[in-house]
Amino acid sequence: MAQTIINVVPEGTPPVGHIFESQQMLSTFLSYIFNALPMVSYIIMLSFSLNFILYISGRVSLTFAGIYLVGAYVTVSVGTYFLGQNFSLLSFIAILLAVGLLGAAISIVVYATFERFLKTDVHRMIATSSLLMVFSGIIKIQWGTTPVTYSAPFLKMGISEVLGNIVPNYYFFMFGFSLILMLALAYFLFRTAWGLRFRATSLDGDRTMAQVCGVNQNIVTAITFAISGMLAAIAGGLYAPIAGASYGIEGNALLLAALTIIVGGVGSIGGAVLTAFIIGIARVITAVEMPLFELAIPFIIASAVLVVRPYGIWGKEFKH
Amino acid sequence: MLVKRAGSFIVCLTVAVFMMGAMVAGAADQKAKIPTDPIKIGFVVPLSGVAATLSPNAGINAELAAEYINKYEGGILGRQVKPIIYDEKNAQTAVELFGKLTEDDKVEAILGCLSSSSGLAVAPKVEAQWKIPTLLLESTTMALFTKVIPNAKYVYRIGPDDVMQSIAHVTAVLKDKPDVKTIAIGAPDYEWGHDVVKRFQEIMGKFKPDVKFVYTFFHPFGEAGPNFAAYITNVMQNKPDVYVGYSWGSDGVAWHNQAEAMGLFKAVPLVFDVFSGTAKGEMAREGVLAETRAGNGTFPPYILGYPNSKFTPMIVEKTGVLPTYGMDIHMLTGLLYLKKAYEKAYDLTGQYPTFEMVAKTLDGLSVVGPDGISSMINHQSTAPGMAVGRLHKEKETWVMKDLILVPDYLRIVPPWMTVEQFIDTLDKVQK
Repeated sequence: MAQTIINVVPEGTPPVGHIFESQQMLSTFLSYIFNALPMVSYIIMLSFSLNFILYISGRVSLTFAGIYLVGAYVTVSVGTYFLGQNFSLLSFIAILLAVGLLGAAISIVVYATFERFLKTDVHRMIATSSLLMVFSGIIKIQWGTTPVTYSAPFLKMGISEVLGNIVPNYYFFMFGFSLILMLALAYFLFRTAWGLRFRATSLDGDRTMAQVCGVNQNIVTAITFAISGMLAAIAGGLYAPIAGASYGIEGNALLLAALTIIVGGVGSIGGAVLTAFIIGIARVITAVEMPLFELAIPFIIASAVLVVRPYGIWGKEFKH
Repeated sequence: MLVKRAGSFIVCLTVAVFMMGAMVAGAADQKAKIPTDPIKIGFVVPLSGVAATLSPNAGINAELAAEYINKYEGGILGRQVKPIIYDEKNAQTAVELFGKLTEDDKVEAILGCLSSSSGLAVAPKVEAQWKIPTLLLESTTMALFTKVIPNAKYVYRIGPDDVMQSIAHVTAVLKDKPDVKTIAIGAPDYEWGHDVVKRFQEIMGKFKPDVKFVYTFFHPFGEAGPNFAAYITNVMQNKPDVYVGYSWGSDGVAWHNQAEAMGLFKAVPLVFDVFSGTAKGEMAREGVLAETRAGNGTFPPYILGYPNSKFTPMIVEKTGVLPTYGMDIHMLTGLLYLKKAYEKAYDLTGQYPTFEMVAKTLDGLSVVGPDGISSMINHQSTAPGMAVGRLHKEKETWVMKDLILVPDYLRIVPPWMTVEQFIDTLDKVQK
């Protein structure tokens, strides 16, 4: 019996192979995004740690990189001591928050006893970059120079399969955690009275007028340093289960944070998030497609942005 | 008559024996006096950074190797060995330290260099400038003796070279998975990483020409806080029959954690990971094929009756762990080579040996060391005890099962052949 083949596919519909190719492309693109999530998350927090002090207080402080280092080591030690190879999400979050408080405390102490006496940006840059060596020295005395690891949260959270991509759930946790922190910070800055005080003293505002209106500059600056320290320490704590804590990670942190500010613009949360995605995804793509450029790509991006937009993608020129 | 002749013979013999004794004693008297102060030996080993993960107790083990030589072997030429230990850190630092040891500390030999980059950096300066007997503990790149110092006089190597390693690895993979069709392979992006991958591919091509390498990559070496997710995803997406990995140190620990979290060990049918069997188990994963050098925790040869039945317990007592990497025991092997070379050179010449004499004497020596009986052939130790096996956890301890000890004739390049000629013969060996 002869069979009649009825063409039920509407005209203009791409052939099946094409759909398959599109799906594969989507899956590959998603894999780039998923694989970039850990780096995106820690770049967001680190860059805003540096950015926040720069934007609100108009100061350059590189202490955050040292606090990031301490955050990573303390998380590994505390996690190993209390949880070992076991894992409990709530306990891990509690550790992260405690590490965040420690970072805030370190940042305030360093500001109150040292940084507030530094009067120019050149002094601040030189002094706080020297301070990084002090942090490294403390780490060396306390933990030695061999890298340490605490990977239970990363290994025990399991994996998800998304469009053919296997993604560790810890990546989503890390990204979610950092995003929540940034949203909370954005809410604080733009939706609260205290946030208004912060913005009034920022590069966008008018510090003299804010002081005249009763904004206590010292308190604002101290809280700014506390928030910056907290973000840096939590970034270290969140990334440690994936890559371990090792001597030298503070250098990477410093470079990536600085480049993110160049690309994203000073004081912009949106710019930090967007830039983190650009740099994170670019590194993942180059790692696979052009490995020679993997470490250089953030610098290439920053150079290109500087040529086109000197104040960054989301940045602007400030009056002060 | 017969008795008289026998009596004369005995008298002559006695006189001859006495004369010979007097001659020998005279000769002995002519020998130069050996200094009584300790002999200083330099150690340049990783005490910090990326490499220290492999051998976290390298400094202590160097001291123990010296203690062993002094306690059980009577030192070198009766002199106590005084170790001077520095942190290898990186290639540049290693070069500076070799200079310091030779010129300031006045050591009489140097043992060191885990990393190939350090070995490649110091070797030309040792040959051209310092001219001091040097025993590289690892630095396994073949380029060392083929390209960088092809006419070596002072530099020797105790660890295996990358040809030995690669032959052992290919043999292990083929024994475990004879029907292998596709392989993904990854290594750190520096000289040694590129060398081992190239060798593995060449040798696998000789043994099994139809094998396809579906994904080859080199990740940044020693980057602080590495993220390998992109490489791991690509390995899994290429669905190889076998993944062969060469990541080590802190890179290796991060790689194994990330690969485990992303399910690589379950997705790929066979994983051969060179460094899984080293260190304190941070890189060990159930069922993974791994390499071990005799002396590692996973393959403690002291149980098998090798002469390190004294040395390994010394390490365990002092550090609380078995030797974590081949380098830990190569330090004692190196001192045993030096002891033999110094003593042989002294016996032959009657002079206190110069650096040149010691270096010349080292070639061709054999020692019974903690990793078995090894010989120095063309400046390269035969590095016995290199084995490949499957990792398995038993009562919280990682052990190796189904061990393959690759025979010497299959992995050691004979002195009369180039590496390329030797590799060319491998397909005939298989046939």
